[in-house]
Amino acid sequence: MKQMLDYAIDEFLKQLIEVLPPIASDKLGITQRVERAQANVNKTSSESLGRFAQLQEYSTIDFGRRAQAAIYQSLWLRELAYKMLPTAVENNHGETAGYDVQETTAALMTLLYATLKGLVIEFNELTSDVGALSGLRMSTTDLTEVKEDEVDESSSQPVRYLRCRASSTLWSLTIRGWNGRIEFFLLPATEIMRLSKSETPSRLKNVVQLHDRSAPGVWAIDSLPADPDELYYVVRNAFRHLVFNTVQGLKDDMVGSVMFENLEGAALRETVRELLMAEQNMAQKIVSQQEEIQNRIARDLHDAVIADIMALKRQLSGDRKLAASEMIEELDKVSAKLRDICHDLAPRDLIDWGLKTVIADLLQRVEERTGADCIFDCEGDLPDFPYPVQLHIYRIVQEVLNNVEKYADATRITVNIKIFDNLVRLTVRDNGRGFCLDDSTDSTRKAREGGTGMTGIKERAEMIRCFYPARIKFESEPGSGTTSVLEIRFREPIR
Amino acid sequence: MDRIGVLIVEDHQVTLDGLTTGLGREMDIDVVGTATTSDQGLELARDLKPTIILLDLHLPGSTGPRSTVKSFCSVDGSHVIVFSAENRMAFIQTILSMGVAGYLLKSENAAKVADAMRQVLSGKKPVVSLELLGGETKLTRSEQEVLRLLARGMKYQEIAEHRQASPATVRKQCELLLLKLGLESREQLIAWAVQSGYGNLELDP
Repeated sequence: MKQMLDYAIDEFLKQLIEVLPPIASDKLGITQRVERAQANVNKTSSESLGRFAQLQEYSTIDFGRRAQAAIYQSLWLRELAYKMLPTAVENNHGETAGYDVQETTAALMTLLYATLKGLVIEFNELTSDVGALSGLRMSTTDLTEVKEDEVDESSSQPVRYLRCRASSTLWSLTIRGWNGRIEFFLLPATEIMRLSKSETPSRLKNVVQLHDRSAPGVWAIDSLPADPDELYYVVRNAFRHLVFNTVQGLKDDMVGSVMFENLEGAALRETVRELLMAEQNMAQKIVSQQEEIQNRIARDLHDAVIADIMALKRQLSGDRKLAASEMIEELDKVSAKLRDICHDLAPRDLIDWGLKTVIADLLQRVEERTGADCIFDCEGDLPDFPYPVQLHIYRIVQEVLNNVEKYADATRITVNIKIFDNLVRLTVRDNGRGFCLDDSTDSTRKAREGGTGMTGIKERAEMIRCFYPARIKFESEPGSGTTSVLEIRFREPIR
Repeated sequence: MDRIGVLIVEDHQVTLDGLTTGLGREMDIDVVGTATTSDQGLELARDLKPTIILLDLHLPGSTGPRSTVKSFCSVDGSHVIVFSAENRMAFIQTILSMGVAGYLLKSENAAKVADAMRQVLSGKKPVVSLELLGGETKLTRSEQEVLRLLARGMKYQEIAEHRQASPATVRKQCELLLLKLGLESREQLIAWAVQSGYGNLELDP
């Protein structure tokens, strides 16, 4: 364990300086602080970054550098996890396998704790900027191992949780890990005296679990293998819940309301307001989606159908009389357009024909319109998803293909559906223009993300998560096409 | 010549009447029964054991076209020919993959339908409306790519690798090509592709 960490830290240090700016800039959302910290990196790196322990000490030396340390710790977790997790733990089947699992759990717990602590340090510094918010101050409790009364059924050993905690005056976030499973709980701060009783299922916020016990090192969130980025976000999210609940709680008394008003413009904005906005946005979104749907129907009817019928009327009243066959042709066109509009609104075909066929049909229509070389590749049958899930999948594919058609200018489009174990992986790949995922000034990206596009797709993927663990990823580079991957892990039916 | 017993399952009365009359004029065809719902049709099919079941896709009282086709295809000794207005290829492919003997569009007249039945009984399967296939003009870009690779002497496996698709997908596509071009074997398909100049066209880099 020690060796493993040492090795990983050394590896990490070698890379830190190189990777710091690009990683920090976007994903952490704390760019300015990184920039400020960046100025100190070169002169302090040799002495202060020697070991993690020193990093911790260093963080207490002076106030201004705490944020820097926090960021280092977060980055450290991410980079370390990249380096360490996939291969470093050797698996010996049999006796030592359980030991490995424990070690891996402990290793990840150390990392998660470091991140949590980093977030708390950062948060405390942010709130200390505003006098009225000092009541929000958080504290952390170091990683400790506690033997519980319960006994693990599979190994008949007593459960020994590794636990750490971040607390405000009102709420406590605890992370406990044992035997390949790490759980996040949010509970009232008054109940921390009897943690194991207070950590009830209803307070469970998140679970990170070993993906495959025979190969310790790959962790999964919601049963999907997680990369270090995602592990980082789990901690960050849990921490946000802690902050959010605390702020909500404080709102009830006088002090709280003063604090709450002060949030506007305070440094806390990033962390807390996002959460508040998210709730409001949901209601807003539902309303605006309805509006949008109505607008679209109106637009489609106007552009396609009314225009065609008016044209037909002109032709009928003109000098040259239309032959019956021409008229039928025109009417066929109109009815085909109407059918397309109806079909888009309520995909009756989905119920009649099933997901696989309607996706094949979507692609064929794209092929007809674009003339691109379209390949539909699907072996086996899709599991019998509940209708809402099928609808979301269908809409996602529809939207992705829409984007490809509108922006990619592709000559080959592949829709590939793979079904293995209990995972469905749906990939839409094109060889078109592509765009720069990280560059917010990229016009193609803007266009693709505008409107209901990408956001809509992500929201639908979120909604699938109400039923199954699922995620969607996009990969793209200018000039080398775009790949969108939707993964859904479905449970085997109970036999 | 053996007489062909036909059961027509169709909920649209005018179409049903027209077909019954039209097919009745054919010398070798007997319309042995008609039904307007899926359940009624299945019952008759089991009782009458018709040679051919002419089946509409959208029937009242059925849970959907797939289940309708599936239950009729499981009637022993009868060939199912689907008779529908649905002209989108993805849907038709799904139906064809379920083991029907033919797929005819509702725009066909009775004489054409009768012809199709005779073809099915002479062993040609599946029989599909010409309008759906339309020969070379209706080939998609993707099919043209496959033809190009076939003409270059590639096997299914190689084509699949080249196109990053599964061999099964390529095989399916070639089957559809055979159908569209009215050919019977892969050898014929390759020969056709070469003759039509697919081998000479500009190759991918």
